[in-house]
Amino acid sequence: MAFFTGTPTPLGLSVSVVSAHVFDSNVSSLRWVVSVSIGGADISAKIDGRISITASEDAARVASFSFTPATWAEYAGVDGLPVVIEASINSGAGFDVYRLFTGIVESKSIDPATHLCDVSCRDGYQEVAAACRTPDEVESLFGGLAEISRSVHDWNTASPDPAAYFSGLLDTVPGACAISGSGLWRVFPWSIGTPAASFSLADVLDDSVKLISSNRIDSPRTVKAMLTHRFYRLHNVEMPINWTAPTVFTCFERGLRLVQRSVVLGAVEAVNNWYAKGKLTIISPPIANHPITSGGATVYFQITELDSNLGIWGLQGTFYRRWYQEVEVAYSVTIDMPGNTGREEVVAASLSASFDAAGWESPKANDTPVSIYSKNVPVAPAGPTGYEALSAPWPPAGGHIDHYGVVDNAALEQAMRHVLAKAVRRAVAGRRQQRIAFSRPLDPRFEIGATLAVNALGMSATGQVMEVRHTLDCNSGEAISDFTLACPDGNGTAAGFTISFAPHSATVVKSPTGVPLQNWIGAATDTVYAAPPADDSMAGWFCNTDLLSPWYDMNAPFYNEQFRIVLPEIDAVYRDPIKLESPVTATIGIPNAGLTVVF
Amino acid sequence: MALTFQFHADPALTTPLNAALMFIQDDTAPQAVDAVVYFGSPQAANLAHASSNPGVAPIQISVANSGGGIAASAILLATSQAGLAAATPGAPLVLATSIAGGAVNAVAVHIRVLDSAHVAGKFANLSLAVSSIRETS
Repeated sequence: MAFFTGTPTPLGLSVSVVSAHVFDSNVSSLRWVVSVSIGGADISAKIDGRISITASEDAARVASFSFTPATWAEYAGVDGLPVVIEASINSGAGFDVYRLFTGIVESKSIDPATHLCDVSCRDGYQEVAAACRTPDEVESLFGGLAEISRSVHDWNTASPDPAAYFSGLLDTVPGACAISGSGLWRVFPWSIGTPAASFSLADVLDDSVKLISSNRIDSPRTVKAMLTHRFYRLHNVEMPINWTAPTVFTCFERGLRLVQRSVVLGAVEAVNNWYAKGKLTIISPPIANHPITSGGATVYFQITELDSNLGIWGLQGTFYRRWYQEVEVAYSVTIDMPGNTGREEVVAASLSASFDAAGWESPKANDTPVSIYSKNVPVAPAGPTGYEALSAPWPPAGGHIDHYGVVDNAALEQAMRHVLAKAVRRAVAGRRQQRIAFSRPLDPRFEIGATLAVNALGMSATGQVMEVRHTLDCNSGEAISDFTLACPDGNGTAAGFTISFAPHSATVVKSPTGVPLQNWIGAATDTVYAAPPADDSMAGWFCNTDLLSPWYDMNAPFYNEQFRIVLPEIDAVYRDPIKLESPVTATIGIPNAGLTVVF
Repeated sequence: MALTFQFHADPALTTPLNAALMFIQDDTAPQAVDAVVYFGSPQAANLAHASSNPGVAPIQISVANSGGGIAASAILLATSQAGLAAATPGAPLVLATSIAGGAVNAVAVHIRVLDSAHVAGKFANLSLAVSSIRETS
């Protein structure tokens, strides 16, 4: 561990006390002096020609000027040096000093004949984002105005691209970023409040006032925010089974053999897509000489230990089926625009659950319906649910779970806010393309983001400064500020939205009907002849009457001896991928400039 | 190793402030003008303590006056915009006993300037001075 002791570099505070009257409309003339320093060295006396400074929303402030370096070394050494430009203004009514630019030298060129050096400067707007090393740093630049959703716009950890992350978040900001003339990072909302100043025809330069309408490309009919959420609906159904073998009496009088356990368990194993929940209950035939009274005599149907072990008396338990269904829900908000293009612009994003649904659906290999133990089964420490061998989640019996993977409801809502914020910004930006431009004598009081009012030539509006350019000509003495105000037609004072979001929910009621397990005894006088049931409605134990039995009927249908289990199919509505629309309620705020024009 | 803790123009601590901040004040009807700068280090692993009594004494930011011009009492400091309303004019801003590096730990320093005692002119006699610190990495 290393340490170093010292005092951090102090931060100078420069206070410019200005006269409120310098910019009065009745001032007949302005005198101005510009101060330009490069690398801390004052080069004001070497400035020649025009100085131009332009500030715009979401862009670097740029400045350009020309000066005559005293030496080649002075010219060569200006690369990357900090530049500060200040203007002192004297109208006779007062004396003001304003900082117009703080940045660095971006590029330069020189005319070898005149030794006049043209310098282009830029503030560090792009570098601020590019220099960030973590998503937190980028997010801090927006002062809480960005809608952050790592689910749909994430920081690339493997290959960090802070500029791309910044740009994606800026698209959600209902406002703009810039660096002030003093060099401070700013983020400000798009809002139109009380104007800091109001300019009449007497305050602006002749013929400088213009109303600029939105381009067609900025005026779609609607802007739609759409978040597509794909997830898995995990279904479960259970089907109880309960079968009892033919009674001892039936076996006796019809000459039936005991049902073999292997035949029944083979049928259980052969069931497709359905699985036994936990362990099935297999009832063994009781070892005994079962008395049967027939014709006044008592005979005994003997079941030995071997018969008991190999035969089956009954089968009880529950079969289940689990499967997934792909669900796509499209959440959307549509913002109506006054555009006449008929074009619908869509801001879309998607969110997909990362989940191995196929793996979830498949049962574990050890999920066998046959118990390891045939006798003296150890007592389980806790009551099993029957699903222990399966991977989570476990939908309730007969119910479902909408599984979002790692995304929860809060993340889903934030993703919707992120997408909607992009759409709102797009809509507001389009409306803000209705602008009023005007020029007036040098007026560095107002930064971009300031609210100004104009009332000239029959046109009245209160707008927000979205671009300002100061031009100071050191040769002619002309000093002009060009302002461009965003004057949207809106419904309030600020850009933004409120949203009422509820994740999609569905009540899914599945009522599959199983085929009851019965005993079907063929070749008997009571075997069904006419209108036999459909195959899929016949399940259970199939056997035939012995030919020596009085019940024997050689003309009756004979069955293939088998144990058959028929479980229902899953309806397509619960199985096939589904797409749903889910409109979201939102209120959109767009600042209103109150533009009125009298021809 | 040089100190990396200093004032920055942005909360991500990417742009150190090298030039003086300018505040505009109207000579007849001055209004409070606010600005926010960020004190910290972009080096996330670094830590600053007050060198006078590391870990015990707080780091302070005070208004230094080189004489003449604007009085220090024209400056209010706070760590939040809302805190400016309760700040004492000219009083130092007392920070924590230690400040970790990284943008997430940057200290927002809100500055309010309100001077109603001067005629038009530019005054550069004030500055924000940070108490001596010991920076470890």
